[in-house]
Amino acid sequence: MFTPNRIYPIFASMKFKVTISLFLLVWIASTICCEGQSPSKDMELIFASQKTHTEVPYNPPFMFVSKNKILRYNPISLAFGGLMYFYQHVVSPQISAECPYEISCSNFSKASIQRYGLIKGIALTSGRMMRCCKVAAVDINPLFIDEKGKLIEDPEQFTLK
Amino acid sequence: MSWWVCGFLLIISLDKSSASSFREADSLFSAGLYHDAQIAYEFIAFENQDNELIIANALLKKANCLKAENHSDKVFQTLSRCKIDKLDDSLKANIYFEQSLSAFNAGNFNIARKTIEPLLSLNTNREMDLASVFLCSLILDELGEWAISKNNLISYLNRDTTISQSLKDSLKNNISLIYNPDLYPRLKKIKKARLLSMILPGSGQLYSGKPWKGVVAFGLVALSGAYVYYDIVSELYLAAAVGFYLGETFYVGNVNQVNAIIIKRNQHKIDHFNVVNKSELSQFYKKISHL
Amino acid sequence: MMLKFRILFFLLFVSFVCKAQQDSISLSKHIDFLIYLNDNGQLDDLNYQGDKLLLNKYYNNDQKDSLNFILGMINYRASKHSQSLHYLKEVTDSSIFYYKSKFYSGICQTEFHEYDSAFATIANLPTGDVELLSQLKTYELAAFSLLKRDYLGYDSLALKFNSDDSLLHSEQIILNDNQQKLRNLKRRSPLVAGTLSAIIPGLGLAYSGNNGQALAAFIRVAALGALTIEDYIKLGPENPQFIIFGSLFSFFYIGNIWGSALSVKIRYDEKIKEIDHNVMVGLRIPIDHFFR
Repeated sequence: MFTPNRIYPIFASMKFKVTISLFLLVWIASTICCEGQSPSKDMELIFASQKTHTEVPYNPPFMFVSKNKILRYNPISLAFGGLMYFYQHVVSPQISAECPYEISCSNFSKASIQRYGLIKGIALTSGRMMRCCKVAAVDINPLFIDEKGKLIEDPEQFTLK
Repeated sequence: MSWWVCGFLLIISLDKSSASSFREADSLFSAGLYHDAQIAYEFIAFENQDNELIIANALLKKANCLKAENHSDKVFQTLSRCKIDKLDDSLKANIYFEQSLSAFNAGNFNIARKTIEPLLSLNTNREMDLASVFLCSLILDELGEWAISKNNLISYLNRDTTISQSLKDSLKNNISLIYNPDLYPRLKKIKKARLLSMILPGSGQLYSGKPWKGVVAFGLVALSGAYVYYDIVSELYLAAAVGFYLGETFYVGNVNQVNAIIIKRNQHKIDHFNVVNKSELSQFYKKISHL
Repeated sequence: MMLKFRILFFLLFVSFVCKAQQDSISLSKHIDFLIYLNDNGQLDDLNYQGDKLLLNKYYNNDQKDSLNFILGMINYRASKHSQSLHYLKEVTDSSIFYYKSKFYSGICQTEFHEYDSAFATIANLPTGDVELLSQLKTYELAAFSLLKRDYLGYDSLALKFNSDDSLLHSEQIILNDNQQKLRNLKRRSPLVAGTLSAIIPGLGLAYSGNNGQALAAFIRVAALGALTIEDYIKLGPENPQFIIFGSLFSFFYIGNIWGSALSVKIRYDEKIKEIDHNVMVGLRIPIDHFFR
């Protein structure tokens, strides 16, 4: 008689039958038990983890970070940097200061002194302190206000060219 | 034999039910292809948009993928797409648990508390019940509500039927050792500190444990007061007005500063206490879960 | 037996073909799935799935074009311009979405200030004899040459402005206004601003175009000045309080003059940016309207 077992003898072998039935068993089992991660495992992970502290925002030290040694070590800029440090750490938290600009006045001062040197830097700072007021936002286009509602100002802009 | 083989292959090829889609996605997940698995689960949710049960299952599994990829911050938003009210208790519990776990990991303890509290009243299996009670205690510890946390643990012990009465008593003893009211950190009160600072500038800072900030605050207000007095004596009224404005700024600033100091100090104390508490609670959890 | 066996194998064959087709037939379903992902805010998953679908070799070019177009438009609506450009670029000219995707990729390129390539993208579009399309093309090209500051190119293109459509016509007028503003915008003199601030503190700031800052600066410098004068009159020139206030006042006075002189350039740059922004908003309106 003509049967598939005669044409393909592999169908008749015991090994094949065992393989197929094992495969079928695994397949049915996988349909039934597809569970996710268990809550007890989660709890063990949580108990094992340590609380990571949020990073403290970077506060520049009282010395100007500059390659220019004259700017870095001369007594006037040291005194000025010290004053700035004193203001940022002692006075500013006292008066709950709120600058309407994106780079706050003291950071603007540091950045502009580093960019342009002491004389122009101090002049720009004093000019800025005179403008630092909520009235300044009156006729600024919303394009130049960031998502926190602060006016964007970059010390790099303060050149004639 | 041949009929059997062919029938089996037919079943495989024609099987298009959600169970088979789940199986395919699960195999992607176990192969470590988390992103592909996520999309496969999303596809299941998409294909069964009118079946809340399948959607919830698929999204829960997607949340597992996200956790495996260390994106546990996205879990809360993903699971909030499930419509929870039509589901049965165990699925609900799973969703609440994953959500509050995600919020807890992200540090949003108030949201985590709101999500986990309805879970405590649901009927679930022992494992889930235990895990949710302990997660709730961890969240409440972070918020500084140790008394509620203790009560939750004790009421869990009361309703657990697998533990004998004598063992329960010793475990309760254990809890009251962990949550000892004498060891609770003494948190400072914001209202009191603000009032103190209003009466005498700087005293609020002294009360909250930062004496030098108090000295600076008092010094600034006193200096501007002295300056105003000197100006009035020497008939410099404009300068006096400016001095008064400065003094007022310092005074208001000093009252506002107390808020920030106290919140920071209290958080520090709570963290310090919880580090010890967490390790003890972890041992307690191991003990109770192996019973 | 032989017959049964043959039928069985035929059935098997059919079922495997069905199984294999599961992956390739349902493009419309896949697209529905992408839209579902977008509705649920899963943009990362959407792009991942889109990239995977685009690698499928069973899709013909038309199908890939529509996929690229849909992915590009979804990313464009979500303001992910670089992703959007990446997909829209791939749409070939045989697609019905060709014109739409070219116009939108031009807009995406302006977001990255690639005005030249945006111009080239649209300049090569064959419009045939469709009046509206060629008008739209002229309008976009004119706007791009304005963004490039190519005024000669703008003038030659503006001569062709001749639209019956009211929306496009009004946009053309607005574009022309912006062009006039940009051409007539003159940089004010820093010298004048400084001098004005020296006469009345803060006036230079008002001259360069910021009245709020001018008011704030005037009040503060004037208050310091008044304090200094009071000290001078009541305490005399040798009193330390006068010296402190005097030097503070001079610092701020000089700083104000210097700052006013430099703010001229800042305001000028800001005005240019404003006009550019307006032109770029105007670019989108007619395209969003006609290709809805």
